[in-house]
Amino acid sequence: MSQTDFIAALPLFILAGTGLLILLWDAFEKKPSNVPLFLLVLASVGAGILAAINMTGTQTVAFGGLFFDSGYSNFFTIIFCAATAITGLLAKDYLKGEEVLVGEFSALLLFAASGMVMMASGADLLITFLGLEIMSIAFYVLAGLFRTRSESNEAALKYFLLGAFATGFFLYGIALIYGSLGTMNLRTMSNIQTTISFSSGLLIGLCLMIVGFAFKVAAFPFHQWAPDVYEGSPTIVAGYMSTAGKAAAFSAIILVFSSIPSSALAGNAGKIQTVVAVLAAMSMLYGNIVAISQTKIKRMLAYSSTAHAGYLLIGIAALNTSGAIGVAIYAAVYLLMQVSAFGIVALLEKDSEGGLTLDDYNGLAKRRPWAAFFLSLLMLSLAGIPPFAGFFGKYYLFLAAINSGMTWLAIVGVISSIIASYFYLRVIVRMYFGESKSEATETNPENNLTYLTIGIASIALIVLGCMPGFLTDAAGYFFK
Amino acid sequence: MGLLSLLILVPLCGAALLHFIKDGKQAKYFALGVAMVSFVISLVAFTQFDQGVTGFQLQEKYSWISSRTISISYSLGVDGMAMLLVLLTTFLMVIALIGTWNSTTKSLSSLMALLLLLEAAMIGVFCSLDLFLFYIFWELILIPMYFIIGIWGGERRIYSAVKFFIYTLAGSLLMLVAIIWLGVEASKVTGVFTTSFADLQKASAALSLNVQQYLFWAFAISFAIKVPLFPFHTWLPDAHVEAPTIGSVILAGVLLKMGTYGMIRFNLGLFPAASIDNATIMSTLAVIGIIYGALVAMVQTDIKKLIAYSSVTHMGFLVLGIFSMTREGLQGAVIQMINHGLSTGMLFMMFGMMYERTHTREIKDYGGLAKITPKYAVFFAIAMLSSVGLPGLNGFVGEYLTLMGAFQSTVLNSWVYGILGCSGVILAAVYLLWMYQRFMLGPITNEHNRNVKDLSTREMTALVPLVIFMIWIGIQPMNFLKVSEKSINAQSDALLHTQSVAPSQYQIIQPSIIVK
Repeated sequence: MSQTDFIAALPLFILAGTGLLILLWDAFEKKPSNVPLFLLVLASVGAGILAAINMTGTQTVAFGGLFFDSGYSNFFTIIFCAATAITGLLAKDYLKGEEVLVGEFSALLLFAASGMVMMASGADLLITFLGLEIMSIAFYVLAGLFRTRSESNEAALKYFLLGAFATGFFLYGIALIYGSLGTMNLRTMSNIQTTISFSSGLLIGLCLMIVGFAFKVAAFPFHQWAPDVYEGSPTIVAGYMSTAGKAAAFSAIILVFSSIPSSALAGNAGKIQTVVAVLAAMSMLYGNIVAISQTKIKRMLAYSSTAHAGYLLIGIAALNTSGAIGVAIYAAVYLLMQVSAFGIVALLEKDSEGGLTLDDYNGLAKRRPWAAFFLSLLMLSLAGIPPFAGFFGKYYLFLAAINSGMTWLAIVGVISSIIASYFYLRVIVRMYFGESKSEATETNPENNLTYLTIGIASIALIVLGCMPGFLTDAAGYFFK
Repeated sequence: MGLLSLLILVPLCGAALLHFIKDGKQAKYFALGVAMVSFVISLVAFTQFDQGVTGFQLQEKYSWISSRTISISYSLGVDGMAMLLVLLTTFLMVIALIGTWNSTTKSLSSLMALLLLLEAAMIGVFCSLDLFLFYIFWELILIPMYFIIGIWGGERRIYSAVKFFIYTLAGSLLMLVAIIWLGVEASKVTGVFTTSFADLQKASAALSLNVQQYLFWAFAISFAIKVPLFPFHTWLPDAHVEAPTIGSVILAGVLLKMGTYGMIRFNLGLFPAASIDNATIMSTLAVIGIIYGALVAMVQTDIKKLIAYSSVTHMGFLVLGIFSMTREGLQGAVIQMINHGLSTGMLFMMFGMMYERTHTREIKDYGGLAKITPKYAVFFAIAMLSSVGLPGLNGFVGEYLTLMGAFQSTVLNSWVYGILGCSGVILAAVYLLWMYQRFMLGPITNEHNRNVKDLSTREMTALVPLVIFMIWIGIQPMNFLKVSEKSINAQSDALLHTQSVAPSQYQIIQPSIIVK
């Protein structure tokens, strides 16, 4: 391992190393403490900062062509680290009083993050696959973190069985791609000039791979696991899975898609584009329409996350640079919105018995003005109303779609946004216009860290929404 | 920082600062102070505005989002029409705050913060010269208005608030697609995606008429919902009836004008050929709106609903004037925007004052009030007559000009629109005078009304300036028409020039103009 290899993978080493350290530390320390969470936040912030410093404008490879060190991978690494740090900060209040080993939680979160980093930097399909599995296995365990609750166990088992099945598709896709192109290295692939004989194999391979990815991002029609798993999992874990997990899968899809030479696909590039565009359109419409009929907020957010996967798929379907930048920007913005929204849900879940059905949000503005204020801000941002950052994210994706001649997809996106605004608004209606059933006010005021975290994320959403130039500058800087 | 930025920033900062003022009474005084400061700033801007020049003035431009492929700027500027609308906004905000001073006591500091946020967004809509910026302000309107209706409204407030929000959002998202589309078209020529109004104007001229048509409708439907133009008007009665008085005043006074402003600025400005092509459709809808709104208003038993439907009629005149595309029609539309803001705003405010006293909206609960509240009766009569279009008051000027435009229009090329439009004036007299008769005149039918108090000094303070402006515009309209004359004449001439070249030739000629 040379020095360049080491520098390229430094964020990854920090994340994985701290995870191992926490495991070791946990074996000796028997008293419950928040030290692992502290280490988790420290490691992810550190890795994120390193990725920001470390990044190079040009794409280089490390570890003998297996590992990308590019602005692209570093941009996504920062997103993953931010998600991990925010989840760690939210976890302090959330895990308090639960029969959960904080050390294991922190270690698993770090392992998941390191898997994601591998997915965003994998220059070889094997690395991508390894990253995917490391992330997924950590997620399976995290979903079942509340060992004593049956819903949590159900979520873990469901996720594991279906996830393992999807992995099979993914692996078979890799095999077919290898069979038709003769290599698994993305750099070698992109240099293939000649037309290949087995192009239908490549097409099928890519489609199978899309199936595997679509499962991970919970795109229609591979989304069925998501509502159950999000509902049963610990709330902050659901927030983490639905944002960082999605971002990781998308970072890998873009890498693979941009590496497949168009000459090898011959006339099939258009077909792939159509497949992805249809997936995007169906996800947006299905996710948003079904979300309307949900009575539990976590299920509502789960279905809406299917819709958001659809918005992100618009960027993939556009098959151009502005699409890739759009995905990166939206992934970053979506992370802030969704993790914070789940954070508020977690907060309410903790101090009232329920907190999970929409009825529990009636009159929330009177009981907890700050929680209601932040949640309505997040809902408006998720609905894509300016001046919040959610609007700009969507704007950029629609721009990418129209740029590549798919105006119809942008129109479907717009229609589904209108549908979405209904159920997002309904939460605000309940919180501000509805009458509260109970008169109970704040019962657990010691959630300052959660409020602080969500407050910072919300301010970031407004700032990024009013000054979106910052996001495009950053993306332009990284995507040279 | 220029005056226009200041004009947006002052209410915005006021809204933020209100967060720290918990006491309701202090919040009201603070908000009134901020609204007055904004009004003064807009007056200063008006003194710096040169009425003898066409085009945008007081321009400011800062790069906002820029990279190799995107260039979106924070760019503000006003022409005569926008200047008048900005003045109307800041003026009405002060008047509305005074007029509804005691109408609600529920979480006042939040209400005031939302109102100031609304004011900032409305000014932003009228001043934006970049479509991205325009769209952000346009959507920003929804959030405060949604909460104002939803929290401080009547019994069916939630239904109305959600309907208002989703209806408007549906229209504007289509416009968003059209904005991006135009920007992408512009980028095909220059290589840079831009949403600047001037650049898009050049880009759209190069488009084929067919494409222009789609884009025209994407914009037109969005604005038609806001106006509201028949058949997109169904949200309006609900929103007006359920909104608190101050919400109704601002909604009728300013928010509806955003739709007609958008039609003049963007529909006519960006798609002249498509506008001429679709002028007959839009005018037909406008005429239907004029007559339909009047007929529906006639049978209302709820006074607030009646005034709401009268808005549908009046806004129909506006759209008719706009799509006549003559100098008279467009000028009439601009002055009618101001008139409608003053007269309908005043009607809503005055009825709100009565509602505070009696808590009923049904006409049958009133009657003979002129005997008990003579001052109120006089002021209400002035507002009502202004709305009817009595010569000597402001409403007449606007309706006269728009109808004259419709008769003279070479684009519409038919007297039918004018004739049918005129019938709206007669119908307006019918439903408004009849309403006044049942509301104010005759014997006192409801004994509860015997103790109703007449207008207080505070309420008179709010109403007198409105009346002054109504008479001023009615007698000396040139003072106001002159402000927008230059820019509107230029726009009308450009449009009619477009028409004098046949559409098929137009497409051949345009690209060469751009190359130059």
